[in-house]
Amino acid sequence: MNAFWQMVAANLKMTVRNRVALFWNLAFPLIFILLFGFLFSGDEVEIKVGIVGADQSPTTSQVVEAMKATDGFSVETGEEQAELDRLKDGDRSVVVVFRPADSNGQIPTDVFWDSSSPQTGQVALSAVQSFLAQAGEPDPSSRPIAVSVHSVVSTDLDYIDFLVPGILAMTIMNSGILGLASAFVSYREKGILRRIKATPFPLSSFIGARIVSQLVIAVVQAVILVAVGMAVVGLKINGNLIYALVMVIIGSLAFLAIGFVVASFARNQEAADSLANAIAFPMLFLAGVFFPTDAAPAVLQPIIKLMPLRYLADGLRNVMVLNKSLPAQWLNISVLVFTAVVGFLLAMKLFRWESNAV
Amino acid sequence: MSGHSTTTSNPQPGTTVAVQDRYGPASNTEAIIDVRGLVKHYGALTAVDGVTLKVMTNEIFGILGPNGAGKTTTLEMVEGLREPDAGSITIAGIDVVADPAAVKRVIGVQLQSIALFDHLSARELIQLFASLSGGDSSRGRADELISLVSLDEKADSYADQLSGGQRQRLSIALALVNDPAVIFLDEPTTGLDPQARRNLWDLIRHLRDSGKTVVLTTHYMEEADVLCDRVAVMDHGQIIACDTPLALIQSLDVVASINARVNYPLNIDGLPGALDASAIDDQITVSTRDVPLTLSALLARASEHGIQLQNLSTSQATLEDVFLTLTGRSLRE
Repeated sequence: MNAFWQMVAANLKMTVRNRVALFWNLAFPLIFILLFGFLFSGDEVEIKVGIVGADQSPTTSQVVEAMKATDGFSVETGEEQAELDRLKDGDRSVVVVFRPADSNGQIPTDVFWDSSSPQTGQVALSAVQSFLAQAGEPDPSSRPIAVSVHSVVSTDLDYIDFLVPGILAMTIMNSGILGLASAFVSYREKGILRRIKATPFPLSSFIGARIVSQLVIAVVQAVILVAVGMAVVGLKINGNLIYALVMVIIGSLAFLAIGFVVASFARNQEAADSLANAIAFPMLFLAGVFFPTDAAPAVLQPIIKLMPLRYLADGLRNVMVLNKSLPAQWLNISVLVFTAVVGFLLAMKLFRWESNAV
Repeated sequence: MSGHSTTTSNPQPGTTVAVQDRYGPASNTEAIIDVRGLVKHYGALTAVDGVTLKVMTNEIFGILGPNGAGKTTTLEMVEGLREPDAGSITIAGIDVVADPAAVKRVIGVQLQSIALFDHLSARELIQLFASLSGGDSSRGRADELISLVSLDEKADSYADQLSGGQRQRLSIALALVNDPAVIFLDEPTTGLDPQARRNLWDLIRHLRDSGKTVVLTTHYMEEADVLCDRVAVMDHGQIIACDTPLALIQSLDVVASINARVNYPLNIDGLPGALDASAIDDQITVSTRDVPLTLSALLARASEHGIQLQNLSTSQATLEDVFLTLTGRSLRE
């Protein structure tokens, strides 16, 4: 094994043995996923029903009133198209559309349900059907309401599906900016960089080995977070995991570059930690990790557009859960590659072997 | 202490002495390190101001001086870690300024701040640095080095679990991973207790005896005296003297003083070998370059007059006195 891979192996060993690093790299994101996973994807007792054409007859009004009066039902009324869109977005479990009465005085009724979340969908469907059935005679043909059932596949993102790619992006950012800057500044403060300089091992190889180790760690993190997400909190991976790994690697490079720049600017470890946090914290809350970026106030939108994390979170979400292709992520990828290149060039220019600039 | 040739400057500029045999028998006739006119400025401060020195193969060469004298800066330029503003450095025939990368293969370096990765054991650190230095990174070789620096029981301990002396020894083991011809140790015993310091001196002597050349800096006069074959005394960025410790001390006007109390006034003028004599109340002090000669004369004169000498003691001049004489200041100030 040559010196480069010895250095990579040593970096990995140190990371695995470092409990603080292990916490931030693995436990911290896992806590987020489990916490939010259990908070938001708990059993959906509420059956969300969208009603179209509710008040066209006393019969339909009665049915709707009965639903509204029942625990576990939340009933909204609206236009057909709007309600169907909501069903597709996962905001409705069932949409009931009452059509104008036919010549027999029967009301044709279309019931749409979301078959992509089978459990909630089935429960909601049968509950609604039982309501509709109560409103009439035992004989279906003489009932005032004639039901036909349609299933709809929603592109419903559960919150956990939104969250896990975001948490993964956050983790990549943290180990890139916070982890690397902190480690590198401590290497410089403790004189390890100078000790390396006293060996024939080139600085470029030392940094290269560090980058390779970080990429290995990022990929392992991604695999563990996704696996736990799928196994424990019902994460649905609809997309291509290879694309996701490509995004993970490109994203890691971008944030490692930022970390190197922070390490070059910071004179000591406290300064490095503060600067890294000052960069990472706003991104953590605004760049679409926990909630979509468009939920942030309009005044912040131009700033959010400058945040590399937004592009990584968006890209990861697109390829992991929304099944978008990698080429469709060209904007996200370009921004991250640009960040990486500019960052590394800047870091090379600013690089210092020693903390005291004598 | 061995009496080496005391040449400190080479009259033939431009010659570089190639080392024929790195592991050959001790021979002090070859200069393995040749430094000329080294200068380093930091802004307005001239940290190193024209240092010229030669280090012979297979000696322990000490650079002695107070903190801030420029020892570390000099050492780091010689190691190829800092670029000098002027001057030339040759180690084993390699031009350090022109090719700092090449020189790193023949030298081993211990820095003043012991820089060790956390979360790696002593053995792993040795294997890693052996690999980074292009040396033998096998476990067997690592264990040999661990034994050499007496860390056998700590081979699997992380660096932060080692005591100061153990870290120093590990750091020296790291300086040996590429089997270097020259080992540089920057203040190797600073902060160590006396026992740990003596252990380290034994290790450094062992390295010399096994054929290495050792260059170290120190601000401990005693360390330079008992450990180093030759010492360069440095102050304000300049080498103000360079010789064996014995020769440096003997270059002083006063080498020793004889002290005693007398029970009756004694004429101490004109003792053979005496340079100066003084009596304050019953306390007499005679300084001399030749203790046996002056002392026997003093004893003879006292017994001749029936006077008793009490609390008789002699104190030898030290490198401390050398520094005091050369700079007018104490080394410890």
